[in-house]
Amino acid sequence: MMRDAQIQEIVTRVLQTRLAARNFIDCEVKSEEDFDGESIIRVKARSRIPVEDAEERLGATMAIRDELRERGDDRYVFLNLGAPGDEPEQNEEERDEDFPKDARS
Amino acid sequence: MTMAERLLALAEDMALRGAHSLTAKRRAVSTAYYAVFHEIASLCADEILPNENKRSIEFERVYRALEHSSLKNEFRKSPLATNAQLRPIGDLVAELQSERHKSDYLPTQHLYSVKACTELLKSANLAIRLLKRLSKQDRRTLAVSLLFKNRPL
Repeated sequence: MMRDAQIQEIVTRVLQTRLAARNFIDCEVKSEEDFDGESIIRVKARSRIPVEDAEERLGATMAIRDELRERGDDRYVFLNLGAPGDEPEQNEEERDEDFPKDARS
Repeated sequence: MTMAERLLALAEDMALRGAHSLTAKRRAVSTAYYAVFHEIASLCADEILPNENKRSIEFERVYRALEHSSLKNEFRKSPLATNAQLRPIGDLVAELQSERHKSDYLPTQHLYSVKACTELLKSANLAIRLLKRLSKQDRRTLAVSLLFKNRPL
């Protein structure tokens, strides 16, 4: 398996091309253990113009996997594509008591 | 409307109505994974027992033969990993399955923004569309690969 630093270089290069029209900004690569103990690669990338199409995200994911497979790393890649300003709503409160009444019917 | 389509519609409804709720978004993601899982189970059973009464014991047995645990592994191996139509489905399923585990089992914590939840639902929708587009031969390859072990000689 490749090291995260090596993967980061490859992913950056792939996304610079794939997301050129989206004004790719940067990405962060991290190897993680999945629920079944297998290693997966999580990529968080940002572009100025958001990617909202699932096929575009899938295409970018597969392009990264193709590059990694050529180098002998066959792990799954989970790609999160964000844009500045849409970072996770970390302060969001759990308010299930406010769940709309009509949703219960 | 198939069960998979209903599950996906339910997931989208939960994500929309429960946008403010961490729990509702978790259930939406989990439901979206199950929508894809049932679409695959249905496809596999239809391929192995075409024209079978869907309420028969035999159909139910084949339908239930699909295992969650075999999905990730089989999609990483040939013939699924080398088939241009099947491989993308595997990439989508693997991610959704991983998120399903988080959604179902992790203690209360923030898992998804509205955007992240919506992206996963879109992935499930895409996976189902790709499954529906498969050729007869690819459906057969998928069903046999997922339901039957390839025992070494």
